[in-house]
Amino acid sequence: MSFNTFLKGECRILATGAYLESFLNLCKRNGICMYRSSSTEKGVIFSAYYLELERIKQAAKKTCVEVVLLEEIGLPFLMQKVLHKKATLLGIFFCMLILFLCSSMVWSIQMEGVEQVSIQEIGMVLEQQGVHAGMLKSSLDTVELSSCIRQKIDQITWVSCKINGTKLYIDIKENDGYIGKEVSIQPGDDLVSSTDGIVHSIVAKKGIPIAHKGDAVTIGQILISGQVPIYNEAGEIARLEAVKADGQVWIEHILNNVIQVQAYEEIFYRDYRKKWKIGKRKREELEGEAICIRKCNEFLDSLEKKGLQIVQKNVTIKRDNFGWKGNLSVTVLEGITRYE
Amino acid sequence: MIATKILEATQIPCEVYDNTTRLTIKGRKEAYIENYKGLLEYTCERIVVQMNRGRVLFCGENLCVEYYAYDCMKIVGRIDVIQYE
Repeated sequence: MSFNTFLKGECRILATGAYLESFLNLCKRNGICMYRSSSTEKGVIFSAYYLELERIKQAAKKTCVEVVLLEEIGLPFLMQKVLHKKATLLGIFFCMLILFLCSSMVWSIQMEGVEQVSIQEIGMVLEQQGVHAGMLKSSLDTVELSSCIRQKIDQITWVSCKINGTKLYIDIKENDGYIGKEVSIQPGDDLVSSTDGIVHSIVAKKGIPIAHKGDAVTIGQILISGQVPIYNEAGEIARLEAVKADGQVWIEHILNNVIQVQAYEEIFYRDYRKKWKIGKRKREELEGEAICIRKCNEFLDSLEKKGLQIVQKNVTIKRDNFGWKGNLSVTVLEGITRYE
Repeated sequence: MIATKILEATQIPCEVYDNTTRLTIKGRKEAYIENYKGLLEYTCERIVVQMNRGRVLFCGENLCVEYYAYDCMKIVGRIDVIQYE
């Protein structure tokens, strides 16, 4: 039986009576297609499609021929049998319902690109936002979740959340570059150092330079004072006049950084029991080294973008059991300038 | 007469304009009939088909109608005799 016949449904019919030829001719005039017919002692046996069964019965009634259904094959008959059983119907209904409900939930969370940020930290943010395995997909706003993760964890610069099927993918890009220390400018008008180091050069436009070339300075130390002394005729300090200190100071200091690339790439995901699971993939030799070099270069680029002048750099990449370790020791000149 | 001559000149098959029954025989096991009116007799040994003009009789053994549709039918079995009446 062909697939088309199976879909349409086939009936095997025995027609008996005195006017068989009239019955067959009437069926033909009504456009009923009969096939695989054979003449027997009882009558004519033929096959017809399920949809034509009713018209065949009408034609048989008109020509006083008796038709008997010998066999019913195909999908329509199968469906009739199945649909008459309530338990089967209920089973199909509940199966569809469970399938629908299960497919409208988030069943696992997978994170990619997490290297330095703690997984627990991201997990905490997700829990605060009510994101967990088993939640409804419709109640999850991926845009809001992305911005929330980015805001709460400073080291993350870019987050993309998307739902594919029943899985939530969180793609994270971390900031590998140098994050400068925040300078606490004193409330006065003095120009203060924002870093530890040695003064490379100092040019004061307004105010009195306190530090000199070659001096070691610390964070917060006054470099150019805004308190300008006014001397009297006797050469004594009559008063101090406050001006906004201005000038250009270059401080030389050494930045040390360690870039760690692990031998195994970790893929984190969260299963339906809300447990974090870690999948590992071993990095190839050249791949790990290339990543380490790339990260070192990114770090150096980030320094230049921040306006630091690199005087000397010393980069060493070592391979150990845990992966690749890039040690950077960069001597930089940091300009401390305040303009009015 | 003129119409017939024109149709003959255009070489259009006669079953198209004349509604003539077309009978195709393949060996002695299969026969296709097109443009027929109906069945007059149907047994294993004898099948009589009413054509638009006249009838055709098939005699043989284990004759049966493979399919029986509005415009064509197929007879299979061992055909011994085909007779026009």
